[in-house]
Amino acid sequence: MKLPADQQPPTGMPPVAWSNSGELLMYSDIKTLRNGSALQPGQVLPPDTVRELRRAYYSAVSHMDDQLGKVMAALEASGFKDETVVSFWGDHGWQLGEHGEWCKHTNFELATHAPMMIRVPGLTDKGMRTMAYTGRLRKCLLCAISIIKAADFTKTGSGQTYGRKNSNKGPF
Amino acid sequence: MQTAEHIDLFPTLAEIAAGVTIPPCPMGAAQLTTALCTMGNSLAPLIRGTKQEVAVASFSQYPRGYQPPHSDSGGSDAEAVGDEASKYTPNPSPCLDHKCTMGYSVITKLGGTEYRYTEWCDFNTKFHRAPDYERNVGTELYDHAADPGENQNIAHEPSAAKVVAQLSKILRRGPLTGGGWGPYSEATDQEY
Repeated sequence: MKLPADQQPPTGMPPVAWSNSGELLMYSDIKTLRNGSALQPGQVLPPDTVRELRRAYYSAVSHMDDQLGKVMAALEASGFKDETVVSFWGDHGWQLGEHGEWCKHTNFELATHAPMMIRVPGLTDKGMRTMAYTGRLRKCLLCAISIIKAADFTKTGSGQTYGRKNSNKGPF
Repeated sequence: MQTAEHIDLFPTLAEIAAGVTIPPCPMGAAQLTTALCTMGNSLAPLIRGTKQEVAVASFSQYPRGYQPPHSDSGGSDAEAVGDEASKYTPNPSPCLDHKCTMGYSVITKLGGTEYRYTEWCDFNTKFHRAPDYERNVGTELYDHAADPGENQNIAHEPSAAKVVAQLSKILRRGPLTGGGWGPYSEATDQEY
């Protein structure tokens, strides 16, 4: 298990860009290790702790991959695999000691670059890759809920804007 | 580079699963009275292989506890603001009702070079639930071609001034398909 390539903040980083990794401090072992002190720019956790946390994260990813495999196997067993679109995504990236940062609370590339995968039967069987970002999550969740409403519009036609007069409650 | 955002998921699934094309959102206050629109792009053309690119930039934002402009007080997670008991307890979003500092970020290409550009500024001060970019507390520019690990902030280097000016305009306009950063009637009445 390797340490991050660079555990120091970027040169010229404005102080506001820094997150003190407060979320990590919520875990009792790290809180004890740090005597309750959050991480300031330039401070790093002991090398073995960094390795342990990174190993645990990779382990969690493997576990999640296995769980998703079970869902896909169940979908296949149900007989609906070839008529079901599956989207799998995370709402943020994750820092594992790069720049000395942990968790997600920054605008660095590693915190904003998030997973988003879509499986469409007959179209993505050979795989595809793209890049995805977080930050617009709240609206996206509303959108996901609204897909049911969108489906209702199918009979009306597509490509139209559906206005709602005298409403200031937003699109949905 | 193909970029995609979470806001693309809705128009993508609507097109693929329901055969519905979701129209782009209008800018500004008109968005508040539009029942169905998207600020993303359907990725269906990428999935079908009929297009190589549907968007040229991706946007993110993240809050901080309020830091006045020209202060060097350092970053604190918005969630971490409060008494000792709530120090490590995430709070969904203090920015909804209180002034805070917001970091707006974009990744895009200019002249073939990929950049990440971020502006941290006042939020919920001059405009309700919207940024005041003029009250800036930090700007970041990373050249992903020369510095993929984002180890050198070059936002204040004279040689980067032209790139910063271009990226600032792109950032403030927000997601390009429609709607900008959101239905902020005051803020989005401004031309970016």
